[in-house]
Amino acid sequence: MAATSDVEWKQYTNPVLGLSLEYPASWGFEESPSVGIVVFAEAETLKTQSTCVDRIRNAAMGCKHDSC
Amino acid sequence: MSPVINLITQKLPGITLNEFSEQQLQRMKEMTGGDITVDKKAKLGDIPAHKAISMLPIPGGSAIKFFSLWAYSNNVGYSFFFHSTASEFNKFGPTLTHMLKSFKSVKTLSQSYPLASYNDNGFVFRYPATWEVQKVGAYPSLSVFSVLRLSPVTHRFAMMFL
Repeated sequence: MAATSDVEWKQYTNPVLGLSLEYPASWGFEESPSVGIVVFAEAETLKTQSTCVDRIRNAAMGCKHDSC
Repeated sequence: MSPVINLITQKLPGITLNEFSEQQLQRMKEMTGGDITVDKKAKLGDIPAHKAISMLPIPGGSAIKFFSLWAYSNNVGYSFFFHSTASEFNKFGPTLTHMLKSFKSVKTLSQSYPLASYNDNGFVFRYPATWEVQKVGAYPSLSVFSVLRLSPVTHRFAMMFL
């Protein structure tokens, strides 16, 4: 990714989690507000890793299964 | 390796940044093997934070570099995670730094029903998770969406973006 001066930014605001921040406009996000997780990545990456949030949630909950 | 930045928030009343950071550090040690450098003068926006960097060698002579940042404010713990190959890590540093610097706490609203996010081609909005979004029109300077509740009674909201 180029230097930040060349990057267009978008504002992410989540009033349920009580936070906002900027992320690259070419990226997307996947969120699970009920468990407080947000994943930021390039849109194509989110499409191919659609279970990111589930995997992180399982890890945070201590799940040790290989599939998690 | 495409960059993926994870943010986790946890409600943890009655602890300190040091205690929160220590909990997270233990998890990072389990994941990366233990050789971790911690900077206790970091910031998440204006919030004091601890930053940790670790390297995990992988077969073939290269390594994975892990970045974590932990902050604690108003009984909420914030954890950012990012990792990449060590050779690519610096490429994503400015993006990560900008995201962390731009962080702000905003007034929290209670969530009375689950929300889903619609996120496509520059349009982002939230809607009740039990409803549906249909893109009903896309023109050079106009996009039209319907947000529908199908049962028990059909409700439809039309939204137009110029």
